[in-house]
Amino acid sequence: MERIDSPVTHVSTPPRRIALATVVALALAGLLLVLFVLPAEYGIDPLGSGRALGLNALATPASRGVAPAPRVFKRDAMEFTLGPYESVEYKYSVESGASLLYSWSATRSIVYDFHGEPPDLPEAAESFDRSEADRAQGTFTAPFSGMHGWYWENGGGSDVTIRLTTAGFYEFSQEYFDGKILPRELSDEDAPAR
Amino acid sequence: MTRRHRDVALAALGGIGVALLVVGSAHAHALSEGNARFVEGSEGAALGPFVYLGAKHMITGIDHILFLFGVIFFLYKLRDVVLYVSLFTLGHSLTLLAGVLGGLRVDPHAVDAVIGLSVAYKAFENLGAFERLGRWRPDPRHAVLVFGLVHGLGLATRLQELALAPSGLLANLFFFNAGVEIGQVLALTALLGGLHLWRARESFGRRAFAVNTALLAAGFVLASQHAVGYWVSA
Repeated sequence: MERIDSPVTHVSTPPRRIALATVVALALAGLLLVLFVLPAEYGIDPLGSGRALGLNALATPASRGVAPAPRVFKRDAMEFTLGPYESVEYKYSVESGASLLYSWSATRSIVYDFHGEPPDLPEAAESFDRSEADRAQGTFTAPFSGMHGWYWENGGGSDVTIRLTTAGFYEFSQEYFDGKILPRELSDEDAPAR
Repeated sequence: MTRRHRDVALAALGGIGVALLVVGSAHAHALSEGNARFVEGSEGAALGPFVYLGAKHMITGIDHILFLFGVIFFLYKLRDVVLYVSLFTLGHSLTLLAGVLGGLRVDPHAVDAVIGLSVAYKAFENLGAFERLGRWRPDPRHAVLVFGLVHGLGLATRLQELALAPSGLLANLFFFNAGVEIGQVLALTALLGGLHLWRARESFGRRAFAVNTALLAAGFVLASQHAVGYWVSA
């Protein structure tokens, strides 16, 4: 087998120097490990450097899905019927970072647009989920503070009844119908029986 | 192309490489949350996304990059670079494919700890420690192949952490592997460009030893970090 050139050029380095470099590398690595890596990665902080530099916070275990909310828990449920070619919007005031759970179903497939808009800035509305379906459910965490909710449009020739249930950390609700914005009372109870 | 032009081009490549490394090391090494969500939600073969993920994983993986840097540090001939990098590629492709397809499960911390050791090993070899401190020097070509196998296991564990859809798995695996090689070529181009410029300077001879000592320390940090991670998570 052809012997290729040795990639190592340090044939003249004194062994003592190499041994010293290895010891220096080990010591440096140990120092970096104990001072910074262990506190930041695992919250192990033998010298207190992690607390002094605020690194321990990085190692706080992931919240595993739990995010306590400093707000009042609200519930709401409603059922309404849209006549042919009618449309309506129901929206909730949700602060940025707050969440809600939702589930709605309709008696047949209907065009909807789950969207939000910042306060007094309807032109900055953002659509989160726009489609046509007879049901949708999920969790929603508001990417910005404002009014967040659904637009439903009955494009067909017959009535559609929609049942919406939400729960979460919103303040109040509004109905947008026929060009008017109307305040709503939250039902604060489970969905009405069919 | 004049020598001056070539140097400017190489300097630019080196600069891009450094920028990629800085950006890359600022990110977590595991696939980011958005990328992970995509992979878990995808069905069937997806060429673009998996090639991109493979390339991104390689370029932002400081352990792979440091190992490659150590491997090519003293390789002056292109022929040697191609030989060593091919051995590394052969090694990591074998275990990436076999690991995912064969369902070989290895603890990610354990693999990452050995990958950290591979960086330290290469630095130790570059320091000339095997000849000068001992009598026996393992063939560096064998070492790069063996550590290539370990790096491939690391790539496999990253993919296995995600719930890959069985549909299109084989295709996506090859796409990911192709992406890894593309990322490797990009990273190598930048590293070689930077090294080439540096070797032309007189400071290379003076600082090569110190740089490999720092590489040795970096390898020790990576290895011990993941060894502790293995111990903590066990």
